[in-house]
Amino acid sequence: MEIIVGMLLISLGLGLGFLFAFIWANRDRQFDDLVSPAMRAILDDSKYVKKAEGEEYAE
Amino acid sequence: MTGLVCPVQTNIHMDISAVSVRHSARLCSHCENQSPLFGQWIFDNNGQVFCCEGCRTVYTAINGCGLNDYYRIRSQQSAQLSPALMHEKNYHYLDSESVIKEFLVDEDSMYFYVSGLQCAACVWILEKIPELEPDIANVRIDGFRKLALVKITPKGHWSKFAAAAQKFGYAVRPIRADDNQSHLRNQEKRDELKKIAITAVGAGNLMLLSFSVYLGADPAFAKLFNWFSVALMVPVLFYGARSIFLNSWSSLRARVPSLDLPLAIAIAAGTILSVFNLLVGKDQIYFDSVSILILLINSSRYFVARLQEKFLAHESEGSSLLPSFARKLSGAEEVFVSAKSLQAEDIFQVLNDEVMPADGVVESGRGWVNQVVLTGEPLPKVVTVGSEVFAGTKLEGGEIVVRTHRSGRETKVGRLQSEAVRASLLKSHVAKALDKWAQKFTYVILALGAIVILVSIPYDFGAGFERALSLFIVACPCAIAFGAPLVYSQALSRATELGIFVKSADVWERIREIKNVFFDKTGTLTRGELHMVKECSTLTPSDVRALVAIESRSSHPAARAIVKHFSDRIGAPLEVGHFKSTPGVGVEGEVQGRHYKIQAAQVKESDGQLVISVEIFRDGFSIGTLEMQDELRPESGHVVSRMNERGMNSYILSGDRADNVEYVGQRLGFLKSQLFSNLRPEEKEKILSSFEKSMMIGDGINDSIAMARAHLSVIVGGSMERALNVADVFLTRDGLGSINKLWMYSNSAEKSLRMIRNFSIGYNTLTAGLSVAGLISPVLAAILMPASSVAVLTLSYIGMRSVWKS
Repeated sequence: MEIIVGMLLISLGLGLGFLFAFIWANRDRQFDDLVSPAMRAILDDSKYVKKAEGEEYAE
Repeated sequence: MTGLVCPVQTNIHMDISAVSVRHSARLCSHCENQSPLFGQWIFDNNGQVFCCEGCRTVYTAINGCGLNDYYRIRSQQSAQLSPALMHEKNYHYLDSESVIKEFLVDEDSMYFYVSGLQCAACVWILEKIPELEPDIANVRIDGFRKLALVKITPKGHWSKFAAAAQKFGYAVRPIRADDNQSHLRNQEKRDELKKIAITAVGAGNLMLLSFSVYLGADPAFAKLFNWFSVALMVPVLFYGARSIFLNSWSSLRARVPSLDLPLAIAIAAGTILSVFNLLVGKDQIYFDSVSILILLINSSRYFVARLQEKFLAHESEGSSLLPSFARKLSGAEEVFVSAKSLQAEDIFQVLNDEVMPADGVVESGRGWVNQVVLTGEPLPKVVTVGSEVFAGTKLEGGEIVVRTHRSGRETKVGRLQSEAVRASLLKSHVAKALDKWAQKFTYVILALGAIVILVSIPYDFGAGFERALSLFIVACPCAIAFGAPLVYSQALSRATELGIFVKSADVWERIREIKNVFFDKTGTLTRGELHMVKECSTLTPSDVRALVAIESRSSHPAARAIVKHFSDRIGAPLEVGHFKSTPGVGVEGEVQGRHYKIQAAQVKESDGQLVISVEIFRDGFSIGTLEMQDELRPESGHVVSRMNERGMNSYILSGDRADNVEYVGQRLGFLKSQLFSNLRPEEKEKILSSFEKSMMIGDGINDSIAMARAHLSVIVGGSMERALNVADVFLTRDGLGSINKLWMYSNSAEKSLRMIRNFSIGYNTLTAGLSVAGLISPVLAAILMPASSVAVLTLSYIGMRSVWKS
């Protein structure tokens, strides 16, 4: 029986932990814009070479 | 790409595409448009082709900054760009202290509304600006609201951001943080999410606790778990279910039972009974079911609200018709001020292609003013000293100096807009049929529950209370509460896919009640742009090329019509020398050593229809005339006859002259009594409001008051940001033709709703009977409730099948 109490406490702790993480993220406005973060995720910067000293940009 | 919508393709653009697909398979290197916009492809030295000068400039700028990846990213997106027409704008006003003061949100931050923002590539390139522009510290794009939050370096200039964005083909305007409605909406959204999160954590743990009890925990542990559940119930009940209780309370005070009322009673009763049972030592504890019920209600409401917001997101920002700034002249000096801060008697200057910041009288100068936003008249009018000009209208040629009469909200266009807002607030809310039905059902359930309890008092109060509780939970018509939004949002999303934007779900109900349909003429039944009707045979091919070369530098509607008409007959672009545009007279220039002058000859009538003709002079001799007129949209006839088939009366309400209106009316089969011409916006409203259940179909501001008064309003073409502020429905891609879809979707929605209603009447009556008979325990009721929601969901998909297939 004690093991169930332990598990319940763990589950409550996990729940509260994630709840606070969520509230924090939410207050930080992470969920205001659900459109552009999804866009940023697919952009990789590896190919971007800032054109310096007038050299041609090579594809 | 859900939140962002592809740009509206203008008719001019589509028509040309249709022509040139036959001729070539070229694509503009920047916007991938299939045809040149002004008749001729523009080539650069690296073998790239462009549809217009704007696209070439943007392409060169993007490549010059080494941001070539923009095109690679864009190719992975489904977005389609519109040609980057050159809107050479001067952003120096952003460096003026008085302007900056009004827009700053922080010491170094400002919000800009970005038009033309569409896909990941746009986000990517705009957020690269800080790397290229030392004045800009940071740019953060909010793709949903199309805003850029820009931070500058301590000594930086705001105009640098605007100029950089313009270089890449985006027009930006600063917006004030305080008149920014979506800040408030975001706060609400965050509160809703917090509510759901707290309810979810509570409900999840309550389930675990009650499982342990059901699965046979020791009595001592069971008691502990149950008390622990009570503690968990506290936030769920007082935070998660708070709005349900508050809504029910206010509906009780207003004596109109809301759908929340039986839910609130079930929640309260379930909690009280559970606590009571816990105190007297009985096993029936319902905390888990109650908390799951609250979680289901909260999350379904959140999703429905987000769906609605998706359609409203484009409405609020950047929709003002007034420009952001004015060139105020104090003494000999020109200072930039925001348009709203102009006072009466202030003098300001307006340059070519700029929008009037205020109403006033021309002090000096001469120009063409396009007043289409106010009057619907597509041709620019000549203004000279003493002419009255209005805010929101656009100077298309010339330069004028104006003395302010009225500014801001006091301007004609400002009053039109605020009048439109006020009138739309007055619009009566249509009581939804299902809500009414649900209300009646609520009364019945409440009464039935009360009877069950009363009858049970002499026998077994506890059992009676339990039966009433199951009744409240299982017979709650909340499945219908999500049923209607589900069906309507399906109709909404399908319509959006087809380029029909519908502002609110009750449009689907209102459209079936329409009896009278009012059409605006210019830009609605007609294209709202000039079209060549008579060409002269005396022009040689080289004349045509010269003509197009000269006219493509003018923005006058007649010039656009000429360029469009000849677009498929010309080769490489020609250089134009000594180009000159004289408002009210015409344009001239030198091409291949010959001097051409194109002069507005006259406005005459043929068959009662207004025809604009221009005369062409080569080296001083007239070589021919061209005639143009505003053409009917091809689909207008079909749309009008479908309306008549549906048994509706159609009318034309126009600000245009009687003969023009009659000409169009005759061709579409209107009777003379169905035509109203020469109307001011206020008069349109007056006529419309003398009819019942009327629908206004128009193109914008000059019928906005009438639209607000109408039972349903539809805008065809133009800018979406403005359209959805004024109207209920905005038709983009297929123009007027797609309006018939509205009726089709509305009928399907009604059919599905009838199915859902019949199902839930049957289901709720059955389960209510079973609960009263004591055959459904509260726990079983809580299980059956989501089951009925699933059934409603399935039914709504079945009912809307035909809509998805259309």
